[in-house]
Amino acid sequence: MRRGRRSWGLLVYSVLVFAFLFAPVLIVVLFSFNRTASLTFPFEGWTLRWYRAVFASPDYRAAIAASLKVALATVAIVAVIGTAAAVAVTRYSFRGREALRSILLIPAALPGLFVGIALLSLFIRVHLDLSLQTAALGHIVYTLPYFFLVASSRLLRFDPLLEESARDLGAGWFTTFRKVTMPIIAPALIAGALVVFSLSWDEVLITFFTIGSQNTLPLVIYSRVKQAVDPSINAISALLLLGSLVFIVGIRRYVVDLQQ
Amino acid sequence: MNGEAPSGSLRIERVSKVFGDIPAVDDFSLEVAAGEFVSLLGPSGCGKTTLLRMIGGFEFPDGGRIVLDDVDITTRPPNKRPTNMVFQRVTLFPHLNVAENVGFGLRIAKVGKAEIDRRVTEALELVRMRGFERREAHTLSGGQAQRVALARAIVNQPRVLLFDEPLSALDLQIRRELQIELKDIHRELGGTFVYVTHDQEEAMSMSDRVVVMRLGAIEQAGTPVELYRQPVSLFVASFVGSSNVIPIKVKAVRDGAVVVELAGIELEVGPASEVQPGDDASLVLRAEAISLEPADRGASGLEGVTSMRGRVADVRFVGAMVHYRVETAGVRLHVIVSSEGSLLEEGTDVNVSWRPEDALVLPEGAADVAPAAEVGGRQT
Repeated sequence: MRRGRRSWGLLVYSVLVFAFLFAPVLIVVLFSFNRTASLTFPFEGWTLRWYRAVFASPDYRAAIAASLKVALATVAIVAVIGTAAAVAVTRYSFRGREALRSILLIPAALPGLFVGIALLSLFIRVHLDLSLQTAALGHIVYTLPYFFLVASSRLLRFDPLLEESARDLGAGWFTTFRKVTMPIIAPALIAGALVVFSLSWDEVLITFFTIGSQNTLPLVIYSRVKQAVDPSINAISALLLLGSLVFIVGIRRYVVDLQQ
Repeated sequence: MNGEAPSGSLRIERVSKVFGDIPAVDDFSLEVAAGEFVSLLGPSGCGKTTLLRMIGGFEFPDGGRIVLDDVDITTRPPNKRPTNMVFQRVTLFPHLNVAENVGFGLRIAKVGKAEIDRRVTEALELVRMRGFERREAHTLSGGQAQRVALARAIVNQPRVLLFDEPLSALDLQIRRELQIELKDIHRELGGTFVYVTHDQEEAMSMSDRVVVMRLGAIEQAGTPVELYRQPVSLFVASFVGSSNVIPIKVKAVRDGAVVVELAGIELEVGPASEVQPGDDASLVLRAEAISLEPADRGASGLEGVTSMRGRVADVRFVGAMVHYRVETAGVRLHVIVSSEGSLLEEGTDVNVSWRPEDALVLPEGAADVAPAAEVGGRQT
């Protein structure tokens, strides 16, 4: 009896926690299909008009394009720098290796606000006009540690004898990297790249300080929410959610590879 | 591979390698003839793997030269020398199948596709892995994986094949099987093999020559028979066979023979070595060089045979051989005899005898025994 009561309590508690976590998500998705502009109950019937509004809006389309540009540039550059850094730190011993490892990880621990302001003052000092490029630089600083962590933890589990075998069979170090190391660690690198993409995709704080006249999607949503009640916000949020879900599903097999 | 003039003579000249403060390989010199199968045998930490890795180009000597067919390859990276290695762990590339693994080196060398296919097939045939071409590396057993690793090495027709304890992770039975096949493959290819192992039986059964290493230097190099019959030190004696090592005192040295005192009895043994009367030394007596006879048949009448009294304390029957533990006056002897004929029972009084030339006197104390070898511990 007592055990039964306790497990009931646990069940109710779990339901409440999950409701707290997911009810807002469900409400946003639900009201993105609401026929009227009201953001509160009652729900008044289904429509796709807010989605049409999103895709018809030049602001949103420009914001999506800007976000994609920043995110893709960030992923490309972080993947190259992060892989090189991970290989250097895990494969070679050199003076200052531990220091380099720590420095690479620090930006992830710093407050975004601080990183944003620091970068802004740097850009002003070196007379760099704020633009999507400077925003991408900000994202690179912020996301590099995450990619570095994923890549270096995979490389630490990598048997160096595989690389020695490739060298023994006649491959130079670059061929070895291209034909052996790279294909084997590729799933981890893809997982890291997806993490970087999703971090960049919804980054607000650093972007706010480092971007120029153009705006990324999260910034547009933020300014719209402040101005007026607009159900198209629900639609665009639901689209962001859909994008994230696709990523999560896509990333799963690579995450499984990471855990092995 | 087929019928080519064998090349691959290797000369290691005064090579040294230090890790931190510890000399791993110490002023080491060795010549390996083309086509020779040489094993480097020793306990872990004796420098055998470091030496092999320097031949393969994975480590570089701090001093000395490594010369292959009269070309100095000391400082060449592994991809620039005609050697190939079979490693201790499975190092097949997990993202490639068996045929792609074996053809890896040929693809790097830009060999034509038809030629690659032909040579991969040939190599897999040689290691009896035909039919596994499309299998993923991770689906193979340990023994199969090492066969493929061997094929991946020999397909490149290296002038020296290097082995870093490739069988040590395998089950005893598969290990024995592969030892026999490796020897066959060596016979068929006629190449130079350098094989590192800590398993004396593996080294003795496969090699033309065994190099026993200790503390980064050669303790003794010779054919398996030489090492077995004439070990130069207690270290070698205890490493390569099942010998009795008995502490003795040297009483006198006469021409060609030594008189020693063993448990109060004076015995004449030979051959003589660098010992002086009064020295503490060790008597090395191989377990199968000793013969036993029931004491009630009377003392051995044979000329020149050393003889003692003893009692059988333990009998272990292991098929073809019988292992006896015999207690003599204060000395315990391990004796191996053929199990043909009548067996002695526990508690039987026996005459223990051996020919003087089978007993070796070595100048060291028993503390110098190789750590990895257990005297009398070998079972076949």
